[in-house]
Amino acid sequence: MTACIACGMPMEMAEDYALGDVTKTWCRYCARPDGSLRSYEEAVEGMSQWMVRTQGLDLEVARRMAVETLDRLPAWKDRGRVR
Amino acid sequence: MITLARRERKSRTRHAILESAAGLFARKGFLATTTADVAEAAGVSHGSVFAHFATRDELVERVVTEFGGRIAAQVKRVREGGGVRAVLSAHLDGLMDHEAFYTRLVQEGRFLPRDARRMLVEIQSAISTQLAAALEEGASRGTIRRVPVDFAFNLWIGLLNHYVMNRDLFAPRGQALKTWGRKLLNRFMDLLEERP
Repeated sequence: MTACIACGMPMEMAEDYALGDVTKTWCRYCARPDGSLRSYEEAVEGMSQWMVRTQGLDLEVARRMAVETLDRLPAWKDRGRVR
Repeated sequence: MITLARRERKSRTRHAILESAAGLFARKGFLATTTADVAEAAGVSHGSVFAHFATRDELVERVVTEFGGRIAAQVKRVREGGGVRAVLSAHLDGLMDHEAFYTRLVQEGRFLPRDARRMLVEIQSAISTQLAAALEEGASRGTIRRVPVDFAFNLWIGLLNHYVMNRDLFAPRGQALKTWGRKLLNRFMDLLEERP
């Protein structure tokens, strides 16, 4: 099983991949409408807002968690940190 | 050949350390368990623990990740259309298999090393994501009330945690989730389901 390089979500079915394209290395949630990979800033915002919506976390805590999670993933680990 | 045998031995030792650590964390707690305890229980030298895990924190994070990963995978196996009950039931099954460990996680969650704490939130995210999809699907079909996802998720987690934290009151001779889990799930679903 592969995992999304940008958020770590396991991808099992074609529908899990960006545009349903199993040759892509990122998931449908990390893709822009045209299938391209969203930016790091968009990823941090998307993940933290999702944690607020589904778990009710404080926004600042959610942002910190999102940064710590994303910074370990292949898509972002070699980039300079954005604060 | 030698390399393969060595690799297998290494993998078995790592597994034994993780299993022993998980068992001790469940019995004694995260804070009270030392790496020397883990080494003794796994039948390896103290140094061997650090040959596999650079720090105690890394060992704790790995054990939490393995526990949560299994539950998240179990919940993710409920495919689209499975419904809210199926998602929560899979979550409950995963927790029931390791209630003592889960209880320690709830009791000591705030004192876990930072990475283990973050991992716990990631695992909760995997479960709340499945729940969000099931709630949305049920609401659009008119079978589930439209409620905020965070409220439904935290209500469910809070309910389970209350029972495991106070097992002495709810199930003094057994496990809280084995005794009460199905009843709690049914009552929780009664609150969420739309009646015709």
